[in-house]
Amino acid sequence: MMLRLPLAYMADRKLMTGLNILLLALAVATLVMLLVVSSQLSQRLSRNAQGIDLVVGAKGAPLQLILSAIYQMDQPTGNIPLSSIALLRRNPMVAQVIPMALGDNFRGYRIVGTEPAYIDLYGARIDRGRMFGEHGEVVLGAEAASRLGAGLGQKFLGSHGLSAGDGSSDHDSHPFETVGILQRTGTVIDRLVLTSIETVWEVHGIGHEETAAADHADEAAPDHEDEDHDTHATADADREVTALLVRYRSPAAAVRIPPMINRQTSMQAAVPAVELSRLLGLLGAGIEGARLFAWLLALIGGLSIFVTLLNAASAREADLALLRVMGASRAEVFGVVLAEGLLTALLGAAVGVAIGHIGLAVATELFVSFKELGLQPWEPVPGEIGIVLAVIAVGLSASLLPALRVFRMDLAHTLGRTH
Amino acid sequence: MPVALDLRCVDKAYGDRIILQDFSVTVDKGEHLLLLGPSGSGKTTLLNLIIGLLKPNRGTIMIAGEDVADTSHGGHDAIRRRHVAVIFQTLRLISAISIRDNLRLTQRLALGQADDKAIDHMLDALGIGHRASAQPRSLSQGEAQRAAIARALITRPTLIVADEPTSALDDGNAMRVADLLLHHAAVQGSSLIIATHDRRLQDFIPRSITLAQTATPST
Ligand SMILES: Nc1ncnc2c1ncn2[C@@H]1O[C@H](COP(=O)(O)OP(=O)(O)O)[C@@H](O)[C@H]1O
Ligand SMILES: [Mg+2]
Repeated sequence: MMLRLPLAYMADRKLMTGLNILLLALAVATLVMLLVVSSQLSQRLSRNAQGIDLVVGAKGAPLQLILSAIYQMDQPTGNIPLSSIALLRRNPMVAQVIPMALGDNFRGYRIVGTEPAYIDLYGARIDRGRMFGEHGEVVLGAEAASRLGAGLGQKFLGSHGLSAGDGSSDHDSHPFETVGILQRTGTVIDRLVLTSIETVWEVHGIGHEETAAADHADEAAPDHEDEDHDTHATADADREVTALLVRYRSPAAAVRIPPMINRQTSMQAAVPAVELSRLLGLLGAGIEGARLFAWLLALIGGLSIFVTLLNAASAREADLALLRVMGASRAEVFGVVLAEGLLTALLGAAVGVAIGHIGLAVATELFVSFKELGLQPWEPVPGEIGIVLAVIAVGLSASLLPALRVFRMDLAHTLGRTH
Repeated sequence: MPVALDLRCVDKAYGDRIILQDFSVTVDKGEHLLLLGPSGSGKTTLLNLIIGLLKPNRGTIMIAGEDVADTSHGGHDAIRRRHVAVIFQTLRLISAISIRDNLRLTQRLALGQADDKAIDHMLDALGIGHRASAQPRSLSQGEAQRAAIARALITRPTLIVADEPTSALDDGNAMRVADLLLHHAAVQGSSLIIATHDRRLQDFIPRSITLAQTATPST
């Protein structure tokens, strides 16, 4: 019954109401975006690193090695000799070694040469078709398949480099053929084109001449290193891999193997857990700062509601006194003022949640790194309820003081005023 | 004849400024009473006592047999809701909502529900049916006055109190407004108390009491 009045009051001063809603919405949108990104980020980062105790690759920044080998986000640090696989597999403390050879990309989706064990690592099942086998056969991750609109039996050519538009020419002589499509896993594998290591070698390596015009700005790409800088004469030397994903058999391995690799070989060993926590720590500081800013914005929104309602309450004092005379209880009149603040906050929160998710969706379309992270812009995070509740609390406390004026109102005086 | 309003031995003072002393009056159901007196004589004070905005220093105020001066707040609200409607000097229409919504809100508060048919009927009877959806601030003075009267009548109250309903109007309009108010109050059997210093109204309402200037500070 008393809901129509606060709505009418809100409509009566559209500009102020709109401004307050906008302020709160911006705060909520920022908070929602931060929340979704940070929670999905840490969740996805740790899910993708599950079952990987160690990454072995070329020397360079350990974080870069982790990002490129596990998350397929950065350029690899370089290549390592094929013999490294045997070296680690021989070690009794090692349970599993999965080699990876990063190839080119197919319309922005990375082509990764590996073994079927890599697919098992993420618990990915074949949805249609079968596992890659013979040279040239590839299996597509669920998202890569659906975004590319690729079906079984389809043939395609890879492009140079690891992301779309990196290179200049297609490898015209070695078409890939899609033989399988994986089920969705919610991990990095969804966005990959998987094939055997031999296939990657075949496409890049031996006897394959690059056109002189090709631009090789990104030196880190494995194919480029091979072709431009190294002058290995033998085919075997060309047979390199990019990184090894290692799982330990015993905890003792954690103490022994990384120093062994780092000191006794020209390779580096990076521990995902260590690099991850360092990365999250770095991101965390930035996210905390942005979050503080957003709460400040919410506070300003609350203050603005407070000022608006306080102004309005004195302008509407006669209305409210009239309601009392017409028989509305103090609580009902109190509720009218409170409802306006509450509705403003509620609208601000709703609009903010919508803007937040739309913003994330736009960001995932605009920025490749968001897409590479596998960010799901529409996936709600439980913490959003907390943000909405907090903003409602802000609106409620902002309207409490103006609403309390109702109790101190001198009805006879207010209604007797002749203005 | 049932009694709509019964004031007994009411004293009212602001501080040591006595406005009413040992004041008694009875208004029967359906009866109309003119409350006369110069400006500052205490007419508004008396109306505020009746509608419960002020407390008397002494005496009893009964509306439809219930004591307004002596009930708890909740009971007070309920009596106002059911029995009394007010037409303020400054009208006090709620400007953020339409005339129809003003009447709806009043109905909901007094009766628990709105009756759009009754509202349209009432607005038509007062000649402002075509302004039902208009905001109060877009009405002329005469239209706003009629809207305030419609709002007082719409709940069929036991008692309507009106404070200077014609003072701001010219002769023609004052007569028309008084006529409408008296006519519709009579039709639905509401008692009516009009406080005014406008002696033009004496032609319409035979019974009147006059408050004297009682500016006698007690010592
Ligand atoms: N709240 C108040 N406090 C003190 N004096 C008041 C108050 N309200 C009214 N008065 C005084 O009481 C007298 C009667 O006022 P009022 O009832 O408004 O008279 P009327 O309506 O007949 O003009 C006036 O002198 C006025 O100044
Ligand atoms: Mg007066």
